[in-house]
Amino acid sequence: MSFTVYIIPVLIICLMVYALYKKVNAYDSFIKGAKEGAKYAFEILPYMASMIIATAVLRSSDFLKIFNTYLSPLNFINIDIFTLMCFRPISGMASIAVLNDIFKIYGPDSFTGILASVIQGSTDTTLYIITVYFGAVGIRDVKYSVKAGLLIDLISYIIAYTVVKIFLFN
Amino acid sequence: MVNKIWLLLFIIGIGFAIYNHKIPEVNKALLDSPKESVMMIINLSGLYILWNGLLQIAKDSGLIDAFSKKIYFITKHIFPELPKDHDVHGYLASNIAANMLGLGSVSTPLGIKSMEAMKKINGDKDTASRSMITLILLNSSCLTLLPTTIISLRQIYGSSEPTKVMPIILVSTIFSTIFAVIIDRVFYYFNKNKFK
Repeated sequence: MSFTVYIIPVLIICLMVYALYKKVNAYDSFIKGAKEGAKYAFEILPYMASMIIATAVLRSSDFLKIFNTYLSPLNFINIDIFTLMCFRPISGMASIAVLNDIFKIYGPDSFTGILASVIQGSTDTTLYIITVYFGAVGIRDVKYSVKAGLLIDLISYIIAYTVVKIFLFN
Repeated sequence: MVNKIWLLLFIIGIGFAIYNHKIPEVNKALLDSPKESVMMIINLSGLYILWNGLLQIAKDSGLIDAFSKKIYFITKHIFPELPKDHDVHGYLASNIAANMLGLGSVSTPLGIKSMEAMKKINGDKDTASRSMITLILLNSSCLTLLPTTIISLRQIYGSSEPTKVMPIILVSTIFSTIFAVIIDRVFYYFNKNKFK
């Protein structure tokens, strides 16, 4: 057991003590937020399902296995990590679906499981953010954002791999 | 863009399965995956209830506002183009705060509000301004302090220590955000003339 098990409980107790000090009705606030959370979970179900179904179809066809030959020289990433890297910039739902599968196949505490957790945790859905943010305010010319965003993703993957290696094998 | 990618996933998937004689597997995927998505939402909904509830306590007790004021010193350097004392700084700070807590759903509307403000500052043009691209790149590199979704999924799949990844994610998210800021500057430097 390491110190990390304390992080979340300690944050919560600090939050509760702060709420008590500020005389906030924490219970009412929690319920208000929790209601929104429950509503949100229900609302994203169609989005989640649409992406999980589409990625499941693509993965069942073994299409991504074609890239196996190109990946074998880079023996540090396997086909499932590669799939996660492909889906991560496109859709948060799709990449959570792949992460889910990786945990199922390799287990969350394996090297692959931890690398997948870090990739999912330290990057975001670049292409989706570009579409939604620029789309919402009617920007047509997005200049170099796609190029720069994908380059940052690539660098983040390399950083994730390096950091996992250092943490697990020192 | 999401539309095209979604369609391609099906077309490539089913097309390749026919070519590769994998149609039984496709049928199995079509039957199993809808059920799986419902199971996953059931797993995740509890998580959303807990974290949205806690975030609301943090909002109501003024913690988020206090945090927004604290990081103004950093955001004003990352977004040099934005006028001082403009509302946009508040939206930006809340957007970054929500990202740090791993709450993408909360951060998106705040990010869009910042974009609207930036469009006005840029004279309502339909081209991206420097600050807009910086905001996009910061969001895509995503500084996460509490990767709540990942921790819960790890727990569900029987991790002996679901929180073990927190320091690893923290270190790599800090480095990738630093690189995002550097790449933003480098790209801006080489494309300066496009903004005139």
